[in-house]
Amino acid sequence: MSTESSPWEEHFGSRENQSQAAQLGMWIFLGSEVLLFTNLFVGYAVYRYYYPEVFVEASKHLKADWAMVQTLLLVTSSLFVVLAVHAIRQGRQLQTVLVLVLAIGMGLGFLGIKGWEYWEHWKEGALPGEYYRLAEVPERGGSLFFTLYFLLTGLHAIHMLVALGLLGWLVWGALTGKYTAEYHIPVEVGGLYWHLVDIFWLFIFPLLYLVE
Amino acid sequence: MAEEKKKSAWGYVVVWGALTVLTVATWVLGTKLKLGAFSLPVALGLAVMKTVLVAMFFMHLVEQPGARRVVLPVSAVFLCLLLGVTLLEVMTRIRMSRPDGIEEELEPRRPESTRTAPPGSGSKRLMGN
Repeated sequence: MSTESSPWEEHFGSRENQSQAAQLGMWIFLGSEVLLFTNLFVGYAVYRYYYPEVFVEASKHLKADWAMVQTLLLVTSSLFVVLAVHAIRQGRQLQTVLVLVLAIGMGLGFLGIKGWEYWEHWKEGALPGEYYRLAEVPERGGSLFFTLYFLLTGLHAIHMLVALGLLGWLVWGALTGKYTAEYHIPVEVGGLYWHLVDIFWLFIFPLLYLVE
Repeated sequence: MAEEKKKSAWGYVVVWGALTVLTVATWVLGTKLKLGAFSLPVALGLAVMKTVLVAMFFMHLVEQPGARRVVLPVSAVFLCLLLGVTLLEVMTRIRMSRPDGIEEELEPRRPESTRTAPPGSGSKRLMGN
């Protein structure tokens, strides 16, 4: 029944095959994303081993309480995204739109807190590399900590922006009735991406904010 | 997907509750109760538990068949390999590269600061140590 506007492609053989191929492709992409972040985590581990005391001192200049709020925002947004998948699997488009919009709002809240944090670091002089001006923390090690902090949270924030754009696109698709109980592959794989970005933050939070 | 019709969403809310509790626990352990040497393993253990919850239930890994199920664990294995072998190399570097028997210097001798100019002036460096 493949018409011009149908999302189903004949060359997959069956709809089940198409759905499986799309999800396997997304999982492989997510695996490559894990390896991308792995490099930063390894760099963090090496320099934390070299400068353990300085990392503790530098970490006290981050806002751990707000980071917990951010974590809760992300975890809750993940719940809303999985509820969106749940709703569209049953064909409830309006409910899908509603929970996706809630998830987007929480993602924006997360980025708002992050932006405010960056602004505070800017005022304090806790910046990466040669712009490091924080007198209380030794430059050797301290500068590395903040370089890794900005790389990890910055890369995460970029992923958040992409994921937010993706969710917005899903909202548009659901509003125009593109997704049904039979066809909802984009909602499934978009949700997977959001959850992975959430998982990265689950590790960034204790590693950067709760050093002792 | 007719079998999805009857499934309730409350299981997801329970998982979310567990994630919230673990998040607050991570924060309390990290900021209020100082665990010293145990803080890093405990914090990472909690993060791994949260990851397993998110991956299994929110990312529907429990209901996935075949190849889709193994991609994420395999990438985690590669993460552990890269992290573990790199740390092993870093932690044993000097001992292994010193056949002359100097024992007192097991820590790598870090180079003195390479900074010659005041911060923010001139020299272009990506990382400052």
